[in-house]
Amino acid sequence: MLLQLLKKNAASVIFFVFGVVALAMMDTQIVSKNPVVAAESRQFPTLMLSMMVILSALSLVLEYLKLKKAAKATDDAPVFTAGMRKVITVIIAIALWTVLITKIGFIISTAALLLVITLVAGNRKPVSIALLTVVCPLLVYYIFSQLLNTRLPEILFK
Amino acid sequence: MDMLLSALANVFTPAAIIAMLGGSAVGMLIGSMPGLSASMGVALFLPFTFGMEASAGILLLISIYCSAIYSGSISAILINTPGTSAATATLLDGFALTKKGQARKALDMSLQASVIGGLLSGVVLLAFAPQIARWALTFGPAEYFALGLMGLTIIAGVSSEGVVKGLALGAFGFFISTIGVDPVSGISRYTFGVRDLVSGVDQIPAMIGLFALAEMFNQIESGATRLTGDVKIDKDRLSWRQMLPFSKVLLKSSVIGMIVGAIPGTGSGTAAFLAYKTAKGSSKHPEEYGKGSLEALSATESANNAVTGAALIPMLTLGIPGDAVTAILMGGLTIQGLAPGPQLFEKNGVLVYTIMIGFLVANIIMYFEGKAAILGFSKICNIPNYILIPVVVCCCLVGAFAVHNSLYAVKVALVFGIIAYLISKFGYKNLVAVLIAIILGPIVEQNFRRALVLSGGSASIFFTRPICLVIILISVGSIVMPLIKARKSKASAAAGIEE
Repeated sequence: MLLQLLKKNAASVIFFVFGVVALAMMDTQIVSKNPVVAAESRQFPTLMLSMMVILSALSLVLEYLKLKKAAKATDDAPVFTAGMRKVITVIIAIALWTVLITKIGFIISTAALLLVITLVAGNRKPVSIALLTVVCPLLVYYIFSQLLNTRLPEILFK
Repeated sequence: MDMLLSALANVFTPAAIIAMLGGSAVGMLIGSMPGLSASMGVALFLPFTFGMEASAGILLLISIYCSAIYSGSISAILINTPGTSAATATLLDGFALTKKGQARKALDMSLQASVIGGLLSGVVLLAFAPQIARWALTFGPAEYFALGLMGLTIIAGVSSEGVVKGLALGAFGFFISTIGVDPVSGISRYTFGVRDLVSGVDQIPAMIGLFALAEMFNQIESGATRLTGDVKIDKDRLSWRQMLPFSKVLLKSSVIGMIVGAIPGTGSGTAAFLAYKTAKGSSKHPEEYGKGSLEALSATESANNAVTGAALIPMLTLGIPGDAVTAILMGGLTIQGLAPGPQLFEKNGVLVYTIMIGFLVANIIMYFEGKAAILGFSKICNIPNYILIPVVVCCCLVGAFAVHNSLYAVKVALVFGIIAYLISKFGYKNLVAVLIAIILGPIVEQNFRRALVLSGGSASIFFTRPICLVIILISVGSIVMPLIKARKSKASAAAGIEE
């Protein structure tokens, strides 16, 4: 039951841990030579982090009681589904994009990112893949850089 | 009068007209695709307004908002799937009408009723917002603190999975808003020595991550190849004359929508269900409700669009966002260097009137665009996910980049997208709470501290000023009431089981 509780309420556990860790770091993250000023600056972060810790713990307790009541319910669904693996792939691709964009420029890095996402989303049509990865980066580049004055990294196309 | 004339001139500039035309079209595209919400659409197009004139930029976002709320009904009517949560009540009779072979009539009714609701709420916005703003000019830091607090209590109202989780998310959002340099003391808070964090977590990329990227992650995980299926539409249309018998229902439902919309934390979905219930209660043919009643459709659609204008009242006059979309619209004003609230009427009166008149014009444009392209928009539902997702993700990333021409904003959007995706997967679905807290956090903290400085450190300032006290009492009530209500309904359910 405990495993099931953690599986369904992992966010509560994360909030609880986040709150405790952030509270423990307060002295190193909000520093002032004037103790009165430091105390004032710490008021709201302390209040909010304490609320997070208490409420996430309370939520876990409430969910535990709910689960206990419905003791018959079982959930064998895996935490990491195939769908989640796809999302993780896309997240990694986006993270790589933020690195590559400064090295090879917007157009090529975006074309590569779109290729990954469209394949992950199930696109298996070569023409559609080619059109998407070529037209979309060029169109977005034109709209943002020419019409909206955004300076997107060019690098290779300078 | 001068302001009104200047505002009228602003609304009819080519830039504003193009913005409204484009915004209406985009809103209809987004609203008619199930899974893509009005808040996502507005968040996604927020970066497009950077390079635009303030009035045109805001009108673009408002047009997206109105059209997306309306067009959520298209997929609800045609394929029994609401495009946005506002159209959930439309399902009850919309799809039944399609099954009866009256899809075109249902689509016409939803468009015409939405326009009526939107226009009426626009008139109310124009009539009442300036009066409320004038009154709010007398507010001091204590009242602003109380107002911010009241805004935060919206979280309790919008928390579908319980007040405890909603408040935990609110506390998280509020904490995020405290990161960066404390504007009162000048001390850095939780910046970890990162230079970009000194100015705090940027709201715009956070919004893009919370609402647009997270939704795309959910779509990828679902693995659906497209959002909807194929639809067939007949040619039997509904004229304005045929709408006359529904005029009473339309008016009553619009009033319900406006009242609900003006109350922060309620939203279009609530208004539509409330209007449906009221219309059924006073209908001559209540037995037709749920089986394909045009009257029911007129009630839900006029109510949910009547919310749009009324929801702008607290946002423009008090600086308090009533829901996710108005919170993002506030972001739209902020990036133009404008602070929503009564001062906005004082300092940028022409712009405020431009927004209010533009709102009316946007509804009229929505009508003509809807009439001309309703069949086209219904086909948009068929865009495959493998095309839609990469394009939206690309726009999210470049949109976030455009905030400061830096990758820092992209990283913020990505982090918030991951946080939103994960927490919604593991027990916390109410992401609006995080957004509202991020926006209202600084208002609450700064005004609380300013009020204490004014009172020499005495908290009595919050309880001796009548307006402040009333607002605080309302805030406490809005937290306590849902708890009492939940306890009562639990008790009555338990009593029912025992019986």
